[in-house]
Amino acid sequence: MALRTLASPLAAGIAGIVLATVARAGDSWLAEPAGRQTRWLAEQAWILIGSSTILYLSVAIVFLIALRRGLRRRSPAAQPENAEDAVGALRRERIARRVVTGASLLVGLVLIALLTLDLVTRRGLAAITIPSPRTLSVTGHQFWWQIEYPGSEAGSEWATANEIHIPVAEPILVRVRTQDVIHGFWVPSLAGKVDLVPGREASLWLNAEGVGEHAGRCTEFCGLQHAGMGFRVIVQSPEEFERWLAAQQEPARAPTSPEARRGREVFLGSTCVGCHTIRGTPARGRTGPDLTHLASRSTLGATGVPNEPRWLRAWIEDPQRVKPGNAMPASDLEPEELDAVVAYLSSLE
Amino acid sequence: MDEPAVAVAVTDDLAPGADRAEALAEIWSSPSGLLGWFQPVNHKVIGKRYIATAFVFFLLGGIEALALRVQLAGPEQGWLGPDLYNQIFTLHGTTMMFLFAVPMMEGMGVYLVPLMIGTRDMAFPRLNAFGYYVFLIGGVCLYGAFFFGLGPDAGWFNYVPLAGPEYSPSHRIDFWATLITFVEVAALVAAVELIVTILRQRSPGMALHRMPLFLWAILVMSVMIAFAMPSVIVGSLMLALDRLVGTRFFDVAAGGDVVLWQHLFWFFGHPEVYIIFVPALGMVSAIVVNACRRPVFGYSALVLSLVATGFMAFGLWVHHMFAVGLPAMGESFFTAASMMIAIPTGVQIFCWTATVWLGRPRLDVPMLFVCGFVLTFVFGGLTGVMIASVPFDLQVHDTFFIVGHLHYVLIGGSVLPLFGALYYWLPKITGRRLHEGAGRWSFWLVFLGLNLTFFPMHQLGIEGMPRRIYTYPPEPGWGMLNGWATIGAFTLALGIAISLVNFLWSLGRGAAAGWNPWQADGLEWATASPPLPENFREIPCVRGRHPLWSLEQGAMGDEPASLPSTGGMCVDRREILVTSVLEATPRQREILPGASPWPFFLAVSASVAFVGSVYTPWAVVVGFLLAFVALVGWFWPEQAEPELDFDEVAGSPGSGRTRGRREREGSA
Repeated sequence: MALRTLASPLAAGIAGIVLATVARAGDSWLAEPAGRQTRWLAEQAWILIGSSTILYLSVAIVFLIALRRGLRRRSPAAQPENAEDAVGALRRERIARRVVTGASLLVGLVLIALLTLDLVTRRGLAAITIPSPRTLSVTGHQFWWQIEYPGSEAGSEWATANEIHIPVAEPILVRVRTQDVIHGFWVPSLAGKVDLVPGREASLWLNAEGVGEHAGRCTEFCGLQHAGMGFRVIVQSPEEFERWLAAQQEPARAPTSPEARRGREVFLGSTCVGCHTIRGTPARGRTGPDLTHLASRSTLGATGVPNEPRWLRAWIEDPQRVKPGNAMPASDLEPEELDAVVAYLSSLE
Repeated sequence: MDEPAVAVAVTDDLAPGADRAEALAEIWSSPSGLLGWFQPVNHKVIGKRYIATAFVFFLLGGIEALALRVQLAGPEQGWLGPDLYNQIFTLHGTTMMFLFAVPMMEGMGVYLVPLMIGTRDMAFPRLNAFGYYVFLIGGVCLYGAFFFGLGPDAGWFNYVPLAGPEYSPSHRIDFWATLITFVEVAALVAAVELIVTILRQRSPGMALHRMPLFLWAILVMSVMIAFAMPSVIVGSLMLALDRLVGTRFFDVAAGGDVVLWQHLFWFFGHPEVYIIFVPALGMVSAIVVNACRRPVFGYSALVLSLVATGFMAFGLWVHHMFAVGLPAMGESFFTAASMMIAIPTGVQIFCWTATVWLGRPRLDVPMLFVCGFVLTFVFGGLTGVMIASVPFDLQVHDTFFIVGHLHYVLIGGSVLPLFGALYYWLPKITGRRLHEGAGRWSFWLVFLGLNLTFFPMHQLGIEGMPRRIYTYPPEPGWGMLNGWATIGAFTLALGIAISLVNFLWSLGRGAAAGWNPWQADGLEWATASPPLPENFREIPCVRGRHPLWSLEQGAMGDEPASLPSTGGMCVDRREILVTSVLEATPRQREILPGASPWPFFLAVSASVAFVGSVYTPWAVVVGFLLAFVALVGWFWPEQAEPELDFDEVAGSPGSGRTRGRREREGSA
């Protein structure tokens, strides 16, 4: 009786869930690896998923067959076993012992194979080493990312925030560190993740194989706005990348409209400069993101909201309403001053 | 070796049975009344309290899980803000791990172990009671803090420096650190109890190789607790010191190390998973043996697997820390160990399959839960093998893939067997049968809900959805699978609710269970349901692994089985038989202390020290002084041994058996 009840909801329910879920597998690094590492990782992952599925189905099916056999033998009600049965039972025990031993050994062999696969994958991933790679450094803050590129002069650095631009088909070495608590740096479609641990140096490679944009995010729980700590990786052709690099290294352009000029005055005369840098002006704060080319970035608040004047205004007015828990306090600017600052910041391309 | 090394006295040749039974019941029963509530030390009372309290925490943890799922049901929902969400997910993890899983498994052990080994109580009954009060007070205080807005919010793992004084300045983490240290003391106490009880109090003849697998599992679990808990106790104490008195264990600027916390935490945290899982394996073995009406296939292999799991579980902890970037050689070692632990687990699954294959399984509710266990746990185990690999782990670490994996392992591997075990043993504990149909409904809802909730999470993780986020944007398209997971969570909850109603219903309305409703094999079924205060009129003797099945046909009648038994035990004091570790040959009689309010006072004193230390270090001094008073009361010598009333001991010189009543009551 019970077996039919066991089989049908099982088959229907589980298969439905599995199929509908697996149908989505096309959306991820598993089906569309965009980086050299994720290509290695996806191949390994498919082998892991395939062998695990086979193992799972074998164990589950054998168990269900055993159950069905037993339930059948159970009805009609247990008869006492006679001597012949006893001999048969002994024989069955012996066979079962062999099967169980064999299956256990087989599991051991599969595991050794998977371990070898693990080592091969790690070697493949470690094979990215080039003599003097282009590097950039990423610093995690509660709850945003500071991105620093080496400047044209030796030893100099300039900063941007929450957006990483890299050229296509070139391994880039990303050095990561944290300003406060532990964060995790992860671009799912390009490479695995690494933790940003206080007092430790760490790095990883980004090696994108095509132009495009990729989402990245913090993966180590870092406090109130852990959910709001994303970033974007923009992979560009080498020419576009160089153009971007050159533009970003420039100091901020001087405001042209009168309102923007007024905005600069307000900005430089307020507490904003305590935390933010705008290169080419006296604003030299290091606590918050560098705003030199704020208008060239597409989001505000670490991918929280789009970088549009109305969001920028809402953010400056009360950042805690847009992203509760971030470090920036509400401003005490008059509405007219606020508009001016928004106009100024929007001009910083 | 097959003959127990004691004389077997089947009947009581000294006293009329009724009189003797009355004396035993009186000396072993627990005080009643309101004040009596604070005094009992009997393992059945303490065990029931552990089980009931842990179950309440399970329900609270489940309600928290539902709140999390409602918040995540769709993108950009604002029902719980980030602050409340972070508190609730921290509390969910902390509750399920520290306040439900470990105390529940230990509670099952505390209740069942003395019955299964045929003794009258645990080795240190007052310590046992103390452990329960510590657990209760610790859990209640943690929830009290939450309801006063001081719920911990840095995750159940409390990584420093986020959980340190600089980034979590309020008292929230103080409560977590002190109360977890406190609750783990309770876990240690129960573990020590269980180890000693299992090793030294087994009935004559129950040599190690005749122990039911459940006892092996509890023994392995307890030894693991004894080695794993000190690590988290040290860790959380260091965290509390960093926060409360300004030490610098985890302050990088002062030469401390934040990775030290992770090592200490996961050196406990990974064995913890197996601490929860190993007793469930024992439950599965008990249920499979009973349902298949035959000895388990591969007893030695199963025992060795349990022990091997216990050892290997301590060599895996670094696989929680692959993203930290430790030396590659070391990581490979932990990858290998994490994969190889699948072998003993596989052996056990194969042995149970063979048992089912060779037996004549009866698909009652406990066995249904075991089938659910096999089908879900194997899945979780295999994803576990996958994430043992460093490269794969670095893609799915800290994503919903891991959430899916760990819930398959913990719900599939531990909660399903636990529910099977509750359906199996509750009739013994309450004396009432549970409703079979409701049990089946409960199982199917739990099983489908579990898969609907946690299977899609693997895909979400692969799509890049990180854990511990209170909301997510609509763009990545995570809404649909999250919606399913939420529906699944409510299905699962409905299944649990049906079982809860079933348990409560059975207390009043369930049919009488009889002493052995399952025609099972173990000693726990050889006494009335619910068991007598003294567990057994006579200490039984054991000659095989299945003492009740070796009885004559027809002995499974209406009365508790009369097994061969040991004579020579006093009935006028709480006396137990101590036996040898390996062969369980009788060594001595030991007198256990009776009911006492002092364990409760000691637990209160200790909680004054721990909870008060959040606000002032002086609380530790006050707590220490109170604890001193409590310990003086605890150890105050009882009145000198009363004179044995030999006049009443007719005709048995030298037997050592007396019926003289003590003048005083058992309570101190």
